[in-house]
Amino acid sequence: MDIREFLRRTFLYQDIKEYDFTLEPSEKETVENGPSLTEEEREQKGEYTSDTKVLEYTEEKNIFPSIDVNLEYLKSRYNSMINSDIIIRNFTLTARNKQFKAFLFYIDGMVDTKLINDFVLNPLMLRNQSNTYHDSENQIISEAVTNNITVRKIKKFDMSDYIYNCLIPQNSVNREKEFSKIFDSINSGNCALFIDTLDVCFDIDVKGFKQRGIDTPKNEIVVRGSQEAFTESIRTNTSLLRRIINNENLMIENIAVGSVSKTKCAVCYMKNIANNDLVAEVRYRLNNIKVDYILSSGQLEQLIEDHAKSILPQLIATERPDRAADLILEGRVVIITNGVPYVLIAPGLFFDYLASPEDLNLKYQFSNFFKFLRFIGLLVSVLLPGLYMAIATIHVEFIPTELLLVIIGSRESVPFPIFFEILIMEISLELIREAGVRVPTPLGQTIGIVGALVLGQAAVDASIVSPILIIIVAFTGIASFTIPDFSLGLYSRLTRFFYIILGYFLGLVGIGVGIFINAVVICSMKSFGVSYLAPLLPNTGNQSHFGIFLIPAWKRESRDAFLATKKEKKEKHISMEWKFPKKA
Amino acid sequence: MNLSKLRTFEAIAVCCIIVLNKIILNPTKNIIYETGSSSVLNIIYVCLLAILLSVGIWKVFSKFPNSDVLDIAEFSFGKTFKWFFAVAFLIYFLFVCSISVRSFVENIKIFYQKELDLRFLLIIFLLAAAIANRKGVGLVGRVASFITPLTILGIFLTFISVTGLFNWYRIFPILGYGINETFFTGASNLYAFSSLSVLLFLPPLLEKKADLKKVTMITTIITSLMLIFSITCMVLALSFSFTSSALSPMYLVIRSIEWGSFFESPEAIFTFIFILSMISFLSVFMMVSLYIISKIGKLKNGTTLSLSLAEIVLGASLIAKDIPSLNFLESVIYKYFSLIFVFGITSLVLLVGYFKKKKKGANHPDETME
Amino acid sequence: MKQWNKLSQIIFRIFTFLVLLCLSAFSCLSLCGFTSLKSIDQYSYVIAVGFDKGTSAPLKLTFQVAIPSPSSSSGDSSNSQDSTINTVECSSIDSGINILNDYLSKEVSLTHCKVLIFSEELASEGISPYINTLFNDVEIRPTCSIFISRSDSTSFLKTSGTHFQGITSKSYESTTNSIRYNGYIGSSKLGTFFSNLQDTFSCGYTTLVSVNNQNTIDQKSNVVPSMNSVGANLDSNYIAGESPINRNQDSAEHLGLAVFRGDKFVGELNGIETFSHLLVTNQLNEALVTIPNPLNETTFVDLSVELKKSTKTKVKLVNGTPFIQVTVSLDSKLLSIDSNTDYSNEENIGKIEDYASTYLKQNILEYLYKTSKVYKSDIASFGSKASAHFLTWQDWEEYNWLSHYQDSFFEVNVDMQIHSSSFLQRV
Repeated sequence: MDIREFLRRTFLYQDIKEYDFTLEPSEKETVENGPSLTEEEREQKGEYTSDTKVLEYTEEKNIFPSIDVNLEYLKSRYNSMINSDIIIRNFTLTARNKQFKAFLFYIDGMVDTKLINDFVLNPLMLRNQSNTYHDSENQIISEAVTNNITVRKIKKFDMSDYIYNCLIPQNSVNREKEFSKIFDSINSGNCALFIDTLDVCFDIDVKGFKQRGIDTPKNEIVVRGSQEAFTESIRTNTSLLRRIINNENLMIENIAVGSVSKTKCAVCYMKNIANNDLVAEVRYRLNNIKVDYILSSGQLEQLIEDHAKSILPQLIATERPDRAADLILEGRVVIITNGVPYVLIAPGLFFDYLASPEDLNLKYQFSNFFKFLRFIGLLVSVLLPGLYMAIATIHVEFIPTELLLVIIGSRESVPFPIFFEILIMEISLELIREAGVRVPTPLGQTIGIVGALVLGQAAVDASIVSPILIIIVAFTGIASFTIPDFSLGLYSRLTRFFYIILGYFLGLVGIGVGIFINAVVICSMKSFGVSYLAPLLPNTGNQSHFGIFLIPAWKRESRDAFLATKKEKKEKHISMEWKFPKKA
Repeated sequence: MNLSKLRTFEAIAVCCIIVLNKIILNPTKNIIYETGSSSVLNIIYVCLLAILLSVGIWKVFSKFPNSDVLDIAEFSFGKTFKWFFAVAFLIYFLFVCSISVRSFVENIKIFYQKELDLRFLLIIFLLAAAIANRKGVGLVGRVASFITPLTILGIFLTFISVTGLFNWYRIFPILGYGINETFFTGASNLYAFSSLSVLLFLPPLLEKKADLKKVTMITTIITSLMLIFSITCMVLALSFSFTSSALSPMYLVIRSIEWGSFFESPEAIFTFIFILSMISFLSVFMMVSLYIISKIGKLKNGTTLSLSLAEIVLGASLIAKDIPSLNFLESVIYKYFSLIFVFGITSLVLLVGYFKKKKKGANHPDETME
Repeated sequence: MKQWNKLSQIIFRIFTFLVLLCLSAFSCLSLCGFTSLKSIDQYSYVIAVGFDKGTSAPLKLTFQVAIPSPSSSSGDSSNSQDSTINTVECSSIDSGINILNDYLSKEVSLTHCKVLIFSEELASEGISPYINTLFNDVEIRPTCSIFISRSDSTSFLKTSGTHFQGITSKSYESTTNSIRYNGYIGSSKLGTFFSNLQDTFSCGYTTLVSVNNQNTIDQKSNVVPSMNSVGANLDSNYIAGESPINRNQDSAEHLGLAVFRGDKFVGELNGIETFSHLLVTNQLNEALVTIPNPLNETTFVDLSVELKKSTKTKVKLVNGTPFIQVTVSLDSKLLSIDSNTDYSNEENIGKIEDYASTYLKQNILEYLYKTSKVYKSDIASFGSKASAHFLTWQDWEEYNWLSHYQDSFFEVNVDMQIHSSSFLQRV
């Protein structure tokens, strides 16, 4: 670049065209709802419709017998000119020594090409003993002779039956007549075989897309339990459940949710244990969600839970198949969503979120102790800053004198009132947590420790906060990590702020009122027809828990009464027959 | 899960919380003032009377399954009387609510929240109680089933913590101000149990009707025990001559608790428990008032009126100008209203109904009871 | 057109919502008075209050205000002062606090007051107006200790807590704990003292304190000589301020009891009398008592004494005059070993036991008659047992226990058992 250029650029006016892209509502949307709208329909055009009609084509229902028409229709529907991963393989199919025009339609990357080559193209395209065999076409079903007249019942030869029964050595083949079902199959990774003159299409399962293998659970870590976790593929997940439960009564129903994405959801339950009404309710809710797409179980959870506005979780989300299997065998219903390694379990009750997957692996004394500890952790994480706030502003006499003088001494140089101090520290802690989630892994651990320790120490040295507050905030943070369930941890993080505000303005009265209203809200909730605080309230006997604590393994004779299961007993009265043999 | 019925445990909790709250408010002060050193004897005697009364109530109600006292009043004296009776009970409950909450808030203001306005404290208490009533009877019961054990624990803990201060000889002279004051006029101390009138409305609200006996007896026994414990604390730990003149004798006792030299002022814990129990107490009374209103007004669901009811109680609680007039309301008007109306007239209604039913049963043995 | 309506509706709704929100928030906040809320560092905490007779005003109040210790990172605070003394002359307690509020930059808070000290001079004029006001105060706790000081309370407060470096408030608490191992100190709290004042069957008493310096050691006040002529001034006969501990500086001392009749201070009890009081009222935990050695007249025996069973007291009314029987059972251990005596010999032990029982019996009788005849004050609450003889309160009040207490007869039985000495049986 020379000087003239530089001067020109610096001092002369340049007409710079900036790249400008804005998204404006297109007028096409008004036409999408149908060719002619009445006034009312126009007014209601903001209303959701699950139809996805597009004007470029008319929708067809059933397959045409002519292969060319089918091919053209499929090409137009899938925009194969534009879509790069749509593969159409035209070939000549041999059956009964006759040649037919045929084509395979599939999506590249979703299929296992070896399967197609070896088990679809090979037996159909290449001449072999099966497809060149031709015997008499008609099959005699029965023959009856009366008065020297022979009456034969013949089954007319059906080519599609023949090809289906004899020529395609693939384990999962369906015959479809409707385009919508074929599209669903192609989208999920199958390939569609169309044959000239036949009005059925063969939907062949050749799925071979790449996916993550079974991994260890990332967020629910146990010491003594299994180390398998769910993955994104629904089939792998259901296979994990099947292997653990190992019983033919396990039902896995498929429901597609979302009108555009048609996300596969599987509803799993034990037919002879789960309450029919519960299963029906789950099915009903899943079938009546009118959305375009559901991409994760988190979204699904928000659409099917009872109290949509409540911040408490109402469905258990777990990535452990052993936990899901345990709860299925107790009588609950599991909902697996394709594409997400977290499954939902209905109903989800308050004390389930305090239970860890390790509880069943340990002796009941330890499980109960840890459960109690977690409960204390929950109370501390929600109430401690608020209580400190209340005591330090209004109920000062509660603090022992020596501690009080130390606190005041340490606060001498702090310019902020306690309220702002607490808010600053709590918000900083939340920021550090959020940052820790997003920071790249090599730095993740360091940031957490550095952020917490150094920042805290630096803040004390700079007299922004007092040391006692660092201890309180740190202790609260640690207590909130003892909560096993992620959603309940989020709940505690949010409610803590309300209690801080209540404690500041109203002292212990405010905290008491806050706890009361919290209790009212929790007591009034229910999840899939079960009271949210079961089994504590209502307390009916015959449970595997004593209130909320576990009883010894040899005493867990009955399933939970609140699930109203079909099979109440799960253990004999004397389960350890080796120790107490049956008297003859 | 049905939120419109009470389970057994919840029913017991609901009835207990009412009397337990009275322990920290005025009635105990008046009891000690009137009976002096024989308070313990007097309260044991009164508790026995209360147990007898509750047996009587249960026996009457066993003749009228699934009916409450309003149905019995209608049966005994007719529809017009039932209407007046219901309105009188409604006024009684609202009156008790208002003076209790006012008295408690005055205590809180004196001991703690000097900066907070009286009206604001009243509003938040009543608002919390109204919120609890939005979803029905069962919800109030559930929350009470958490709070009642906590309150019982608090009172029991107070009792245990002050045993070091006890001078057992403070119960002497044994007859206090005399036999008359201890046993005859002292029987009027039964008004401490007047809040158990909630039991009279309970039968239709119970899930298991057969449990009425259990509920009645357990409630009376628990509340009697707690009353005995608290009066014992107040008489034996400190001199009764000034506990009877204190604003809240229970607070005075709690302030004397010392748990070692490190834990000072444990009264914050007890205050906290009593705040929770007071809100629960208010919600229970509001629940019963709403029940009466829906019964006489033939409403399907009275819970929508909970906020309006809270406003009425707020207004009523602001009537008293200062603490002496509040004391007058509590020690005179509340006492005699309870004795005459709750014990006198209600007992009459129940007795008349009982005998009428008995006669009817004797005359028409084939007729089955509704 | 319809779009306009919809838009205006939305705007109106938002506006209404905002206005309502502001109104409700404002009313809530103004009613709840948060603007006047104070936090812990806006108060100054008084840990002790002293009451004296004022020179220019009826009352002289001394406030010991705690100075918060600076944060530990700024070095040790070994020589820093942790409290200040402020003296106010005023007409009443609350006006005195008011004057102090004007003087200090932070508001005075009495919620952590540990000790109330009254001078003897003020207490002898009647303590009930002050006690009633203090008990009625929401901030002062009934578990706060009460002392009566022989010297004026200002000098006592100035010298208290100088024995060890540390927080003064903690030293007050440890004083009240010393009753567990020392029999010459009684403990008194505001709540129990107030209760005793109100009761018709007992009188109040408090811990006696004083400043101990050379002056107070030199001038011994009205000390009743002990019964034993050999050791006329045994170590147990001191009261507060007279212990012969020579120090280079003044120090605060707790020893003995101050006795009240009604609300007036009437007298003091020395060490051994306090010990007797603790025995009679069942408050003794474990304490040391020194008796002359019956086996060797020139030496003394130290016994560590504790109550074997609770002291039994019986009060009978004989022709309207109280007859009080006290039975004390004690367990003890020998602490001092004399080289001339064999303490494993049962006979020797028996002699010491008998002598000790008689010695203590005499002291207890002396204490009882002193409270009854000299002070006319029932600090041991015998009246509560006497009230069992009456049926109604009116009869009891008519009897007027305190007027009859001065005519009471006492019978004391002491049964002491010596178990052993610690390691050595004899030398």
